[in-house]
Amino acid sequence: MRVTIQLADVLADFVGAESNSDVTAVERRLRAPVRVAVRGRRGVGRATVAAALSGCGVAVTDRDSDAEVRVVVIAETVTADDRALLTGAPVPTLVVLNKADLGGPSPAGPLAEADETAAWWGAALGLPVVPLIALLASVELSGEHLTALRALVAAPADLASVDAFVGCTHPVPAPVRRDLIDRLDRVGLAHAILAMTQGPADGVTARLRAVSRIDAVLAALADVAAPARYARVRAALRTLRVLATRTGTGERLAALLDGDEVALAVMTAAVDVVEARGAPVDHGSEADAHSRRAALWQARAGAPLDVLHRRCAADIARGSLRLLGGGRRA
Amino acid sequence: MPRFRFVESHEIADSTTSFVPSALVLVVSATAPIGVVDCAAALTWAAHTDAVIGVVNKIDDHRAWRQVLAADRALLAAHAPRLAGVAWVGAAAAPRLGTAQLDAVVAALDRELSDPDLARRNDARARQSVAAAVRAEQAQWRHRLHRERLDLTSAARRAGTDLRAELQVEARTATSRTRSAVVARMRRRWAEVLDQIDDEIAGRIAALGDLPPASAPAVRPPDPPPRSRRLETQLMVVLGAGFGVGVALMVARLAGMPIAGLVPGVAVAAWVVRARAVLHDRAVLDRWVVDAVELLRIELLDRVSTRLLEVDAAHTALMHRAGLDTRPAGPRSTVTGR
Repeated sequence: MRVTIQLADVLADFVGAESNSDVTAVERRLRAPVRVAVRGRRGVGRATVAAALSGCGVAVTDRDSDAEVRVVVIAETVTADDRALLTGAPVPTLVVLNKADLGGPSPAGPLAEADETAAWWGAALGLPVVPLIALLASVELSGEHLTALRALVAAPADLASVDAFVGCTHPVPAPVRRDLIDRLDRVGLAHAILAMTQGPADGVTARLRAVSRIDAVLAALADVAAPARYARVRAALRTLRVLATRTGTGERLAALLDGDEVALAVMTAAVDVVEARGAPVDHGSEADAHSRRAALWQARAGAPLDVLHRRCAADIARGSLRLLGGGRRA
Repeated sequence: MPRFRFVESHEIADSTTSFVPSALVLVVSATAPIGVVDCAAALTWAAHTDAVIGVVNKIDDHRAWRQVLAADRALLAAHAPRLAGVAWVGAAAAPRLGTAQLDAVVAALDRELSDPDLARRNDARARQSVAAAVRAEQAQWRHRLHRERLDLTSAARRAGTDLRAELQVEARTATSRTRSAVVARMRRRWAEVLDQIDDEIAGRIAALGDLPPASAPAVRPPDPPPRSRRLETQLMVVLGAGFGVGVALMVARLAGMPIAGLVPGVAVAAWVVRARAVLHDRAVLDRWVVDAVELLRIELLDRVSTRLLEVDAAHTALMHRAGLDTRPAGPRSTVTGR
């Protein structure tokens, strides 16, 4: 079974028993969402992607200097101007292939084409690339729109091109059709009409959100942000060690920092980092699994990896030994 | 348009085929506006072609294609003012549904290609491009020449300063016995430094362009001044003799016998005369070193100026010849862009 202990929760328990404003401040910093800067050349839908991420609770920041993670939005392909944005990024970067519904003619559909494009560029750039239809991630449809969709179910309109859809003769007024195509685009419109035929009207937005692939982008963003979260945990530990040298609550805090809970919380953050990189971690809860994991990651801590991954490996080994010692049966 | 041959952009860039398009069709996607790099590429492709049309493709898919087209027009005008007047049209060459929409492209291209003035316009554009390229090349050449001149003159000055310091140390330790050997060594060093810097100049000039190796007249360092100093010798002999007599008298008085002063008096007189002669020789050598190094410096700067002038003249003649035979007017055809 997976051990997931958040350092912020451990600190919340600590200040719950005995209030300490300094520790509360550390806890608040840990709980603050990772700040994400969204960048992209003109016309790729940068603002739409930023709005979609904001709508999903991502802390989008305008300042590059402030960002812990960067999202670079591209559309259709990576141009020379995009490359300038992608090279020398100071923070972990996620590339979002926006307008995934407009990728081009493919027998398997535009999204399959977008998947292929994303995989190709992911390999070429050495960065995670995920497709997205940002337009559909946070779409809002009024009663008028739903009525129009119902009318479109009853009397199909010409969807050969966007101009044909707006320009053809149809019972739904042209301005409403224009509004619909601006909100949904052709692929979104097709899915919305399909959703209307298959279920209740309130299922349309959910279906469009599923089509948009925003959840896959959020998962990829969480993976890219894992090192930032781990860095925060390490920074919090440094601050707490300084606080522990003070008199008063210092002894209790020092005991907490040396305790199993904190070791396991650091291990949780470290496991996130290595799993985000694709390295599997054995989550077995038997003593045997703990000792095997400890030995494996102890060896990796001395391997010629970068500093971040050596540290993570050491933290995983330490946490596994605590688990082996019976600190916490997960 | 079966009457025309359509080629891809890389075939224009290939300089081995002297291919010049009659018209350029710049195709961009309606996904997003073009970038600065695209504008630069358009300028390169359209270097010898005046008839250019812009096509925003995939308008069946992109609802904002009109905004993208307007943005493309504005961006191209801003980054490539030459192409500000280009006609932009929308197209769907390979739509997902329905038939291709290429009528606007065909109409625009037809308008350009049926212009009776097309050949003259394209030729004028090609000439302008060649002239602009020559101007740019000339400016680059001037800049390079200027940098070489700075480098070489500073190298010549530095070599002169180093040589003077080195030779002055030798001049200060020369005695009348070693004088001729020191002078010979100094002359050898002088010639060596001259050759060395001359080689450097030749190497740098060779890197600039093909030029027959210039045969600079052989230069020798000036001869040190002859050791004629009769008047000074006479003066020193008189002074030394006086000093020697004084020492002899003093020693004779102290010793109490006149003969005892003779040897010290003569020795002191001889030493004073010799020491003064050596110091004089060193001062003369020192002045000679300054003169010789100055001559070296002038000679080197002279060579730098002459060689750079020669290479510049050769280069200008070459450019002139190249400018006279303009690009061969090869088969002109229509070309698609990105």
